[in-house]
Amino acid sequence: MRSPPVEPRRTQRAEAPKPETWPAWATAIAVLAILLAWSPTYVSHLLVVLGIYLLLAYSLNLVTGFGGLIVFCQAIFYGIGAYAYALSRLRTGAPGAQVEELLWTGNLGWVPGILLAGGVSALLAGGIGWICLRFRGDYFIFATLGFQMIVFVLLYNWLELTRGPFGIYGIARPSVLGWMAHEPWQYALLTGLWLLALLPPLFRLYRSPFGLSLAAMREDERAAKAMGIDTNAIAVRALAVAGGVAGVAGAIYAGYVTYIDPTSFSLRESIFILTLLLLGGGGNVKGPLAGSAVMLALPELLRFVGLPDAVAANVREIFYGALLAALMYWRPQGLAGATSIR
Amino acid sequence: MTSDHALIVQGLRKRFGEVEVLGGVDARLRRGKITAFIGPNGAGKTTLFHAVTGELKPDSGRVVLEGREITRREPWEIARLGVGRLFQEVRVFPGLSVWDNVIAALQRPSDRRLGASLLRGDHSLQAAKEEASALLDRVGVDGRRDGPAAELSWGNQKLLAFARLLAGEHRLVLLDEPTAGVAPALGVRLKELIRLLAGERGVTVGLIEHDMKFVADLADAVVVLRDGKLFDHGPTTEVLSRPATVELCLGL
Amino acid sequence: MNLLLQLLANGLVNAAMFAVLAVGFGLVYRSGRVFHVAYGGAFVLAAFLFHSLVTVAGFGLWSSGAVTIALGALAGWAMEAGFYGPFFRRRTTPGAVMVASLGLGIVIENGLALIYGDEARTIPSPGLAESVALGPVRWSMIQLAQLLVCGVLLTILAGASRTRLFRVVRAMGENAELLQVHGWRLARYRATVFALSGGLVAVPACLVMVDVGLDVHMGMGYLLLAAVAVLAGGVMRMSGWMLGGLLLAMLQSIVVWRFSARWMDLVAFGLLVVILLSRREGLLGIRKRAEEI
Repeated sequence: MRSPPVEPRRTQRAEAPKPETWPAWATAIAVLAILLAWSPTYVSHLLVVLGIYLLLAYSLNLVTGFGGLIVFCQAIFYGIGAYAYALSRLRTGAPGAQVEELLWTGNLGWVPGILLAGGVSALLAGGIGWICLRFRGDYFIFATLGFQMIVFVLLYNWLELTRGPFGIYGIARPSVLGWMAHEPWQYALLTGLWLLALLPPLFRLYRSPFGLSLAAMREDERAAKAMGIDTNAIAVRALAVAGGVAGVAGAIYAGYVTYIDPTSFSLRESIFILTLLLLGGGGNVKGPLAGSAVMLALPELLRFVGLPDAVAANVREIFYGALLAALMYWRPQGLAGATSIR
Repeated sequence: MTSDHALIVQGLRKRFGEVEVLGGVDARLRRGKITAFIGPNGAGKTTLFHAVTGELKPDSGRVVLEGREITRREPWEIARLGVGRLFQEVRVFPGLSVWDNVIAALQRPSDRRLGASLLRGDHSLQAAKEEASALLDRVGVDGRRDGPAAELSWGNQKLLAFARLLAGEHRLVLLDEPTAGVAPALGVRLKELIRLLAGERGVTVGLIEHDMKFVADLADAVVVLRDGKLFDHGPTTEVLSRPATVELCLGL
Repeated sequence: MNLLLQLLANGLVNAAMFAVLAVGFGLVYRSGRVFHVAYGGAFVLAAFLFHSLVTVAGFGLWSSGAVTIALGALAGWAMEAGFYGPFFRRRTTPGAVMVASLGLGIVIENGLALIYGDEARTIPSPGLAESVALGPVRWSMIQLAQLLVCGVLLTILAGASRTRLFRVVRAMGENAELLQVHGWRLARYRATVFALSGGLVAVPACLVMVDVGLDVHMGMGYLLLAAVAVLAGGVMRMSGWMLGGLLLAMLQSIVVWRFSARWMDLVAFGLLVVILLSRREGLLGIRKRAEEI
């Protein structure tokens, strides 16, 4: 029997670089400050949108990048969060005649409203996940798409709950102890705070045994089960977490735009979020950031090129579609991802 | 039912449409001993392993592990009760690093929970690195450890799967054709590792094999299957000397 | 009661069209586990080609229809040759192919939008709006055309399912490698399947365009109908796909009668989820081997 070496070999673990690289972050913040000074409104708006999509992408990353599950329903968790926030805070905003029409409205504070949004979305995501996870492969993907359609139809047609296509206006803005946000840079700041609150725990999950178990499930579900991993349970939980974070993103969105309607949370939106993740790549921290940056920069770039508005939307979509197909062929792991879609 | 037996299989039946893959199999594995399962291809050996580990739910019959009934439970439940498995196709996690393959196996269910992971982050993963390193050295996996497991040679992938098995601290391991497709030198090392499992650690070992010499050298007892039914069983030297058995197995 | 009967009669017409849609999708899915998301794109492509042939080139309805079907088959063949084929040869994973297919569908849809705009287009056809009474129900001439054309087509398809082509298609879905080893040239069969699918999808596309019209973005909705019909009815057999189409159409009619038209989309997916939850293989599916999870 060969005896083991006297000293264990030096260990080295392959993993995504940790985000705590202070010089890079300091530079980024400095650049941001300069941009903000140059064009506060525009840049703040971009930051808010970026922040929302980072939340959506990083949360989806847990399910799709780490867990390897393609889902077409992230937009409904986003949407339910938006509606939960909107309705639960409506009486404190500028609701107008709506409160008589609607089944339920509340007057929660800002943070409770957001937490409620996250909680409701998490529950919904867990429930939908539990049902869909009775299947695998195409059936699973299609089941998530099915729920996207079902919830969208409900949002669109259940007028007593959501006012359907008429939407909800006058949604309460973020407010803390009497102060209410109204400048774009304030929104950007608040969004940044939520990112600081939610992303580190999410990244922690990526690097934890939970994240590793998800990755094991993605690589080979049978082998993972043979190792004692309850793959269904971890997948449901990953979906719940992803749904919860998406719900918070929805609440931030609702508080920012102060008017929402179901069309913002359609299948098209789910596809957009998925494209964003697949473009940037999943399974690590860099990927979703790369994807979000590129996908959000694109419309802005197209705007500068000066395409007429009517055509711009279609051209953009053509670009996204072609990009998706090209990626799957040449670079299924995306721009900066750690893994490829199965 | 003596307390000698770590695993008892009674009357397992499984049918796929027209074909009866298992037609009432009985088997007993003595604790700490190595039992080999032999028989022609399609005799139901791998199917039997699937039924024991929960990948397949038998139509009827029982599987009892250390006195506890585990028939028709989920594979992960059975794994947590102490059953380990080496697949015929090996099934390492191809995209994960060699490290992560072993580290994943070292995690306890309590570590993997959402709450625990949120609280302690990669703490237990870091703690597992040294142990993983020791296991990889013990087993002798050769190749870039921070590279993806898919890049390892077939033999090293088998060794990696074995390392994962050792990491799991199982009480019963089922090895499906461990020597298939490996060079003789590796086969020798695998034999040592299996002896180590059974001897030092007192693990009960069940193994499917076609290499009769391997079986003769290693196994304490043999179970012979044919067409989904029990054909013969008993101590190795006895069974392997019976003409009917030899004829059946030479027909491989 | 009369309303219900009328709605069911409408449902029957829809059933025939959904069934054809389902077969077009099911053939591709069954032959290679390809979730042909771009099928929605193929649908609107055919519909708008038809529209242009009738309104711009001025051909008659039937001849335009025939040309569209031929062009649809050609487009299907082209999709296999230029898109899916390369993915197969690269052995891309099914999930990735599905996502790429989605990309293709988006490109087709928006490419058409650049040409035709985003609004709905119809084909003015005065004579066809007349209706015929059959007992308590009325069908418009268009509906009759839809029912007859699709009905005949379905009958032909049902009969054809015994031919070698269809048997090969089923075998391809089960074990493509084995077929290749035995010398079957899969690429040719795959191309045929896609061409067939393209031709089939053109039929309901033209019929719907003539009836209520379409906009370029409606392809996805029809794809989903087809996919639900196939998955709910049972992936394995053509009769399952047709049954799925029938069930879907009838359920939609009942929902419209009992509740309102707004909830029709809910029906499709609710149905699918319920059926799959109770019977994983769909209504007429066959249990797959355990290893094939």
